[in-house]
Amino acid sequence: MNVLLSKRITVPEHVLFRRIENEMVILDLDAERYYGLDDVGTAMWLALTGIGSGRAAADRLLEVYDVDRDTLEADLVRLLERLSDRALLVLHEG
Amino acid sequence: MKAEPSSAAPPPPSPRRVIGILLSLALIRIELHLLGLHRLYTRLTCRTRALQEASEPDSGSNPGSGTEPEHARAAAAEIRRITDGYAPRRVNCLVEAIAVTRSLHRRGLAAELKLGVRTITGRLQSHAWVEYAGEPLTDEAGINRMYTPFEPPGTQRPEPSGDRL
Repeated sequence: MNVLLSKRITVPEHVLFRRIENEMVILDLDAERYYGLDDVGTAMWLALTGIGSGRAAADRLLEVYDVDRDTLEADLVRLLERLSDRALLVLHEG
Repeated sequence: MKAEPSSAAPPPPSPRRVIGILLSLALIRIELHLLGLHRLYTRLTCRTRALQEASEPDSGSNPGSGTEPEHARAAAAEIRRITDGYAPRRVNCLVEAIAVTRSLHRRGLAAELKLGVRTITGRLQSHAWVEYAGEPLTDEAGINRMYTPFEPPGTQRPEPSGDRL
C-alpha cells in the first residue's frame, strides 16, 4: 500500500469547497484559483475528506465502484498527490 | 397631468461620502493585492460571526429585526450607486461586496460576504455578494439560488461519504 494512503487527511482553512450537481468546485483562497473535479474525482474527494484517511476512503470506494483495489488505490494516490502538491489537502502522519 | 416627483428617489450622496467610498474601494484593491483574499475573507467572516453572536437573543438584540434590514439595504444601495455612478473604473463584484460588508460592519450590522459559483454550459462562473439576515443586499433576491455559496472556513463540513458516492 502506498504510504500516502496511510496518512490522515484534512482540508486546510484556505480551501473552500462546494458540490454543484456531480462536480466538486474547490476554491483556493490563497492562490485565488478555482479547481473542478469530475464525478469520479468528486467521489474520491468526498471519501477522502469525509473519512479523513486514504485507506478507509479506498475501502469505501471499493464498495461502490466495480474496480480492483490496485487500480483504485493508484488513482487515489495520484489525486492525493495533485491535491497535496497544490495545498488543497494536508496530509498528516498517522 | 403633471408627473409627481418620485419620493422614493434617494438624495445624491455627498461629495465627502463619494470620496470616502472611492478611497475605500482603492484601499480594498490594495489590500487584496498585498494581503490576499484569504486574509481579508477570514477577517470579514470572523467579524460577521462576532456581530452575529453579539446580536443573539440573550444579548438583548434581535438580528435582522426592526429597521436594521432597511438600514442595511439603504447603506448597500448607496455604495452601489457610488460604484456605478462615480467610480472611474469598473468595480468588480468582490471589491464592491467587501466595501459593503465593511460599511455595514462599521454600523454594527452582521453583513455576510458570500462567494459563490455556478456552471453555465460547462463553464464555471463565480460571483461575490452580500447578505444580511439571509437576504441579498447587493444583488437581486434570487442570487443565492443562482449561485451556490461556499461556506466560510471553519463552518464547512465534509459531506458524508455514504449514499452519494
